[in-house]
Amino acid sequence: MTQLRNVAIVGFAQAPIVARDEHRTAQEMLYPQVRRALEECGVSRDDIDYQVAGSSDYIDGRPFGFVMALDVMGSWPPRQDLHVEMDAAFAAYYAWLRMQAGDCDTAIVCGYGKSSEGDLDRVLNLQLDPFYLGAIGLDPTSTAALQASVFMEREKKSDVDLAEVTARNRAAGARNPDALLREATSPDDLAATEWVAAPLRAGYLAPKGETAVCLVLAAEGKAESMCDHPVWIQGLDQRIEMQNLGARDLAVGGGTELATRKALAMSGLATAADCDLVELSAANAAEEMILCGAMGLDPEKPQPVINPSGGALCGHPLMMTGLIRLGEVFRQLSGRAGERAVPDAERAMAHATSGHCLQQNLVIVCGKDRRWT
Amino acid sequence: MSSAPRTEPMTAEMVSEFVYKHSTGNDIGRFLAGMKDQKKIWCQRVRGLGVAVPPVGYSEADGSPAGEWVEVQPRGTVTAIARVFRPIAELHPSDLPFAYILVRLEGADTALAHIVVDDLDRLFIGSRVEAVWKPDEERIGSIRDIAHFRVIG
Repeated sequence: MTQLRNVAIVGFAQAPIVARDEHRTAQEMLYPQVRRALEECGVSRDDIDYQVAGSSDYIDGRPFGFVMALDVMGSWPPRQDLHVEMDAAFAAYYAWLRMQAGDCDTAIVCGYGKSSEGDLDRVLNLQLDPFYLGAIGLDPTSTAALQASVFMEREKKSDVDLAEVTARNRAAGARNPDALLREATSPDDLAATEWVAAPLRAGYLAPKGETAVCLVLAAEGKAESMCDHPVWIQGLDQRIEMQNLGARDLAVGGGTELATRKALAMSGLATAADCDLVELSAANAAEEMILCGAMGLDPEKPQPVINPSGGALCGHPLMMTGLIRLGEVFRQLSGRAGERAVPDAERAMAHATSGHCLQQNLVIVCGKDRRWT
Repeated sequence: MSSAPRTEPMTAEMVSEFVYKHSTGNDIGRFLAGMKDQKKIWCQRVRGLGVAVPPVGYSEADGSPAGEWVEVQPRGTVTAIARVFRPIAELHPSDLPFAYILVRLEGADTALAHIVVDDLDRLFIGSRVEAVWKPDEERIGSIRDIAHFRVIG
């Protein structure tokens, strides 16, 4: 493995997820998180070399909507800035990549967007090709249900399995003060919720919400002074799959499988079982089972713990769900996870996704130790 | 950090409407023209996938250019189902409960996404379905020139 630059997560700030914040603009939601994250690291905005955001113009309701967040992140003196129309975890990937060039030592990564202000199903329909998939009105819950039906038929999974996966997450989410849903719910109660797009019931869907998040990255040499317990990125990989749902094998997460294998190899680990915990961006219970299959995870085994935060099934702020997974990994490995802390956690894996049916996937392996020196 | 809100929440309503005229291109265009003019489904043979439905002009598996055009049959086997109980107005193609399906058409190696609106209790993975075409005057060169698929077995 090539010698790479050690980069650590040194700060993370997130507002608790709410269904709708009717008092604040997206920028007003983001501003305090940027300030908190910088304060936590003991630095000012001018100490930050680079900034990247993940957001969606269609969620913002205007093209080039990302410029509205620029002033909050930094636009004077003129900044090095990048924006991606993907989950902000992918923005963290690009910040890490940028820092490998060697001339940036610090970066902030922001995710924001108020999905409650527009019509999310119609917006996400526009992610699909306009002639074949978009034209028949597919929304993300319907495409997810198509995927779930293929997976459940192939793997002989039932409604009960989806209820149990969800209940496990909901029990964990009850210990996460930033989650949108913070009450444990029984499998029976979840299995009594209404169908949205069968085989998916309302109870098995990640509840949409909104928040704002800011994560701080720093390279070796700076990271140590910005955080008491820097959490080092040890391996990462991102993969995208084809757009045509009918040409993919929807029962398996091919991109996730490859990204996991590559990220683990980069971090010098053999299997996902070498991690103490994993945070997944599953937008429904079937997706979580598909991800577990792709990543070699078994919820029956004590290690790794899957979604100690409750995962996306306890709060799904679009464009931020993945970055929050990375933030949770930071919290777990830096002693900031409160009641949901996994004891003695040394290594953890974060997963993020964008697009319909787990089309794009990012896996980041983090640990308490530096990887390359 | 966040201060208490100083005003009652207010909203500013904004409507963005932009009309696009997307060119359908050579490959998608031929597929749509076949549906409109002939009630036929023309697809492309591509390396790595076989006969790919719908066609895009190249292999999504390995990037090689698409090969010959192949007619596939407007009937096939259901490979995936999403049963929509509460259709979303102005997005979904039906006001009543319906199902999205992926259907492997006869002669094709990948599946087409479409809808079934009737006999939902007879619709399962593995069911046979057949395209129901819109009348001549209503076909405009759209995937929805097929009104829906009906269950035939």
